[in-house]
Amino acid sequence: MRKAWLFLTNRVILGMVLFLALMAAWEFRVRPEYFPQTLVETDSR
Amino acid sequence: MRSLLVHFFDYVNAVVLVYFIVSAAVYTTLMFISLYTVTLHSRIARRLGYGNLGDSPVTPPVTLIIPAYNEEDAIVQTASAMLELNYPEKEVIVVDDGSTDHTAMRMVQHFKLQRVERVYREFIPAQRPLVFYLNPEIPGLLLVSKENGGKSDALNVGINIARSPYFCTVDADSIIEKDALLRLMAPVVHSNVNTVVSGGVVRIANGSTMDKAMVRQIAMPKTWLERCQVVEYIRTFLFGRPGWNSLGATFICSGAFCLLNKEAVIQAGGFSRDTVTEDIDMIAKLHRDLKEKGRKYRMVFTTDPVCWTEAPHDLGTLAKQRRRWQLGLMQTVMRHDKMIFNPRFGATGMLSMPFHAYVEALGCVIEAVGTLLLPFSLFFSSMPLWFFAMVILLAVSYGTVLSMASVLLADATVRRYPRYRDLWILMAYTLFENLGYRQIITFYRAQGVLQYFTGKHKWEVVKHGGFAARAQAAAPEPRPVEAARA
Repeated sequence: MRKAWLFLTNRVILGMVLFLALMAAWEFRVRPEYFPQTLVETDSR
Repeated sequence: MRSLLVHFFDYVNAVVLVYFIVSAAVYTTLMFISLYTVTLHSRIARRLGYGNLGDSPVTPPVTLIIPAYNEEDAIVQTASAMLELNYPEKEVIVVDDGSTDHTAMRMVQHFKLQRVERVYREFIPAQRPLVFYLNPEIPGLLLVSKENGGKSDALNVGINIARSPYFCTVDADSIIEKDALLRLMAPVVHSNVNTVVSGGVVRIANGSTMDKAMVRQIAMPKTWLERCQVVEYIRTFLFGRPGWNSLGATFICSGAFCLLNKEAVIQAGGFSRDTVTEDIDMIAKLHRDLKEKGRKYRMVFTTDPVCWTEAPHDLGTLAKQRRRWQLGLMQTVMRHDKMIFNPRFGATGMLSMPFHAYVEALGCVIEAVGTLLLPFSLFFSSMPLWFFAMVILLAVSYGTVLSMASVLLADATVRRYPRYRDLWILMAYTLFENLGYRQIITFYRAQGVLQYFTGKHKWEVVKHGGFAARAQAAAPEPRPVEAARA
């Protein structure tokens, strides 16, 4: 248990998870309005 | 479903793009810093020279520690070459780490060593040496036999025995240029701050002609894999490490040829035995220990001391090597994670450690995933095709320009290849290095990261082919004296 906690709170893991989460937030939350347009573009291609 | 896929691939592409922009920005900064410092150092070194150090009474003595495990083909040549290095006061300690071949016997026979008793004091915990061998006529050479305990343990035994304030770690299959040790010591002597580490350049000897563990004729290797590695080494040692060094954030110093302050290493607890890259770990340990104690210190990396090594000839060996390096880097950054973004550790904590953790260590996974998913991204991502083409073109051409600049810098400052044709060959290979070789290496490195997370922390043995055998071919065959070790 302690080992798992140490692993999860390691700054390398924390930093990477934070970066991936921020990017996900930006992709899935910040730019949803871009999404319908995206589908049209993809389909037309 | 399709909308989710579009989202997912947009997300992957965005992550890869941000990773690329960050790494490119850091490498560009390092490139400009290195262009300035390497050129400046080259000019200063040419003017000041290092010849006076050879006769100076203030030049500190150095112990060369050669850990050897099953190195019977090369050990005699390497030890002989170390004894012939141009340096006023040195001792060579060969630590036979429980070899199962005739490493110790060849040393005993060739140098006519005799068993002696020595007082052994343990400053760093390590396995106790079993036997000491010495020839009174060669007082600068000591052979120590011990049970197998790994490279770090062998180095720690060497440190415990060493009598000099500085020691230099040398790989048993590496070749050091005759003046390299003096050049390595020059920044230590010229500095008014305690210099705890001094590192030099490692270059690839594949294709060159060896004679008695000396590089007699430098030439370009023949295969594409070796040539790509030549370009890669030049870029790493001329653009990466001098750049970090100028920022006071040295993080990697190759254990194949590295000068260290004995006292600082002992205070830091010696080389860690539970890592596969003890050299990377040592630098992090030193930074941590010295900063925590509030000591003033310096680590230097200079480009003129050169050590030659044999690079893997085939993809299988290269894969093992790169997996091990990546696994070691992961072990180090994970172990010393408290230094990351910690202002207490200065530029190392704020710049070098985060870069090595997120870009050098974990970045390869992002790069590998991005490369693997590229064909799918072309179909599913909302990004237009021209954008993909542009980013890929930009990434490859940027890497090529970076490699080209480092090859040109090497030619202008530390030129070793004699023919102009070699320069053009290297310039051509800067493209192959970035288109093909880099992608292969990325997957091996990602495997190394995976090994870390799956707990497969073992040392993968990297067999070297021709280099040691060539060295042995040049050496006189020792007579079989079975009783010598007894």
